[in-house]
Amino acid sequence: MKMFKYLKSLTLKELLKGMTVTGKYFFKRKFTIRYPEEKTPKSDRFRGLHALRRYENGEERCIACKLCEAVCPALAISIDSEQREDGTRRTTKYEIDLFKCIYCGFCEESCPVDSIVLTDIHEFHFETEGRNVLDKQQLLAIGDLREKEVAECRQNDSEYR
Amino acid sequence: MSEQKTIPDNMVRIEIDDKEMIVPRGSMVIEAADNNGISIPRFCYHKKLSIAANCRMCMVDVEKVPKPLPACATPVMPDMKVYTKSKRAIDAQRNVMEFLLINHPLDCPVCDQGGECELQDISMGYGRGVSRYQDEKRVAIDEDIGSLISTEMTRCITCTRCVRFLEEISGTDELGGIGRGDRTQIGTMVGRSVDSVMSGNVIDLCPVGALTNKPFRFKARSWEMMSANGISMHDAIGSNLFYHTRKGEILRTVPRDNESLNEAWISDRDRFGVLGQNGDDRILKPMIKQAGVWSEVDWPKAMDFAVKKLQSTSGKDTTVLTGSQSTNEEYFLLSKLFKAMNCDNLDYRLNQSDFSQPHNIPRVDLDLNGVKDNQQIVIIGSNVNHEQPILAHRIRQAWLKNDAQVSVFNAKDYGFRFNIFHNYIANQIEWVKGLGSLAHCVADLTKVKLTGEVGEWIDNQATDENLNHLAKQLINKDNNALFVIGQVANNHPQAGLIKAIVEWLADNTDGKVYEMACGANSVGAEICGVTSNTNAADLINSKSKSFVIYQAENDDFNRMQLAHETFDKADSVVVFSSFADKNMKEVADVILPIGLASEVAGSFFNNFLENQKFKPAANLPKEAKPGWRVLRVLGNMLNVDGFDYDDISEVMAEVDALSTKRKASFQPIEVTHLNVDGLVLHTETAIYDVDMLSRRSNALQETIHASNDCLSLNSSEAEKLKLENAMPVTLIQGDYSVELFINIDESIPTGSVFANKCVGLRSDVLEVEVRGESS
Repeated sequence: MKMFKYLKSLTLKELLKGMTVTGKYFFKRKFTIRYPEEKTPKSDRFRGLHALRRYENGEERCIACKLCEAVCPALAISIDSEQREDGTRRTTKYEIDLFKCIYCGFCEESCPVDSIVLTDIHEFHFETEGRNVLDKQQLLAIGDLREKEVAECRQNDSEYR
Repeated sequence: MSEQKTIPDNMVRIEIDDKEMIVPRGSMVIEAADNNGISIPRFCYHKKLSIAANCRMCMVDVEKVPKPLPACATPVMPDMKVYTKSKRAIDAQRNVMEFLLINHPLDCPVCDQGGECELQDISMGYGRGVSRYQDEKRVAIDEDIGSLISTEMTRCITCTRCVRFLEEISGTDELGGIGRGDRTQIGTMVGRSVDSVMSGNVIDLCPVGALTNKPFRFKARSWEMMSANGISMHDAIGSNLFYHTRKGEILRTVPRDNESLNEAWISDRDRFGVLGQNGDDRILKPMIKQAGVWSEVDWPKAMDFAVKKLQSTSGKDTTVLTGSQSTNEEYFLLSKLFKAMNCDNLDYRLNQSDFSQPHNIPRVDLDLNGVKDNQQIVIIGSNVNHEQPILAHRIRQAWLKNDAQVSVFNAKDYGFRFNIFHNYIANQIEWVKGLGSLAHCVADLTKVKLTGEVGEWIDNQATDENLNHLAKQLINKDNNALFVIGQVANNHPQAGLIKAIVEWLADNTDGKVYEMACGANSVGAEICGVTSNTNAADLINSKSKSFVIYQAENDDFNRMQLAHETFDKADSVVVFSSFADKNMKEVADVILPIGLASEVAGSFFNNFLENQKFKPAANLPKEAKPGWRVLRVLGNMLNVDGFDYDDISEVMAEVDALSTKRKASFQPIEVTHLNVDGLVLHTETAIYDVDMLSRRSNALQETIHASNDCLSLNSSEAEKLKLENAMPVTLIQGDYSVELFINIDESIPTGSVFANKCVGLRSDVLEVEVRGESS
């Protein structure tokens, strides 16, 4: 027994075995990406920054039903609503506190008109106090910016919903 | 064998879901189930309304009956066995639900009822997950029925609760169903507004979102709001309410059941009046006026200023005038503070003009539930429907259910929603004489000798055959008589005489008296001692150097112009108020912002001397403070003893200890004789002008009952004066004149003209002159 052990160390078998693995990975395609120049692909269900969507005719989708506000486990959403001049139910204030938000996606799930969505934007930061609260105009602007991607992701995922 | 229980004759034994219960004979299955904690789904059934059985949601399975029966319309039978959860019952309920949802829109998220909707709740239990219905849904046209209720008739499930409420409780029959089957539509059909003064209750009754609260529309969801107990701030019934608040702001008001007061209803004034809290002229910071310029200051500076103003004159030269909407605690501290400063010039009866009866707690010999036991009800000088809508409802129920006969002595035919036995409508002078004639008839019939000056006056009034008929009914031993005195009588220049006659009538017919208190808490002001040996009319005519005005404004006074002038001339005017309009800012020197009764803790005495306590429902706006705290600090600053309260409960305890005993009955008085040659003015405060809060409620001011600048008279009178509808005229009362528009109204008796008081009129000068444009 002692003999085998001695032979093993003499022939450097284990070292070579290890070096083989290293050697294999040396020539394999590498996993590391050069963020931020390079990025990994994201799931269609990725839950990032919030957005409020519009219909194709430009009308905001949100009808101020306040289900998202009610379902939000972190109480991050606050909504004020009233009757708009044309008699429809609309929000006058729609704010999401991104510090409170836990990105659970319940708001999106509860929305009867697919208005509030979580986009795949995950790169954001705040430099001044108070910027963590997104207001209605900002949310709608994000929605306008990413409408195509958002719609595509929802389309791709639709058969599992 | 179980022992045989003895069941009284008027009860029966039944079983619901194998639970045995003894219930009154003749009651319905649904009542028995409700009283025993078994829930049966329902839409059209309401415990206070008649049974319609048209929603069919309450189907239950009854043993030995071949098909399911509606629980709301099935009377209990001895040994009946009811199953509410059996397969047949549940199937029936699920089928009804499916039919109801065929035509009901399935867009709960946009509906204002979402979250508090009976249809939504019950459909969670009995509805199918997916609709099988593929065809077109019914759509109904919405009607605009006024500024209080918004309609979405497509959502209506024709339960007809609103129709039955307006027919049975309000008596105004303003909504009805037209068409058949699924074409049935609920509406006014003629495109008018719903004008009942209790119309807001249909909002609560509607199980779906067809009738919703218009001022509250889309403002909040039921789950966001907190509920706080409140007491009515507008009439002395003291209706129990819930204020629904969100982030400390009252968004709406709903009734709180109290069988002895408001049952399940509240008047529109109680429901929408509180919305006046956000009036434009709400005072948010203490304000002082220096050299004619207003500036907002902090509390210590304002208090110092107020103290300096109050110390500059002696207590004897100070006059304290209060409105009737403040809490007992505020009245108590106010009276304690100024009486300690030797001030004996306090009053709350701002709108009254005749003070020949000494100040007293209003006489009320019965409670609201006792109203129905009276066979003869006589309404004296009152638009009871506008003054205390809940009392009007009780009187109506007495007429409807117990065949009470209601007679009226008024200066205008208010169109009450009950039949009137003897309708004595005459001008302000004549109807009082009519009341005298009635007393004369009673005296003749009972052979009671009339004594004193009032007796002599009664004796001088001619008897009348019609009134003799009424008098016979009143003295009939089988009849209980009730005399209701209202604000038209209370503010009448002969108020003392009227009350003395009513006292005499009540004594001699073995009747009861219900004297309506003005405002929400004038009873509290009386009990807490905002009274003195003088009276409001003399006080605003006096040369007092300093005035303290507590939660009152110009429109509250009977003589608005004189009040304004007097305050203007005074050395100092210290105002404690939630609101200050232009008139008040012209005369005041310092305005201390205090909270409304909905924003402070306190209590109200109602007409029946019940002391109802409440906690603050809403947050005080900006820097406003509870009135009792301001008075407490003022007491300390003025070095008055006994102002070391830490908590309102200490003040409440002192208020509780006050005597609520009425001092004495109405006194015999000297009779003032009124004589007017031409037209006699009848002016009264409009229903939504009774206090500073209701005046500022936009929703109420947009209704048909809001005050206007019309001069009403009947067509024969108009013809005599050559006046036509909508013609501008000048009304001259003493040295005051006002431009008004003619409104031909047949409810005004001949020889009388009617106008709202808020145009600047006073109720104690009856002689007026009407000048048309041409003359």
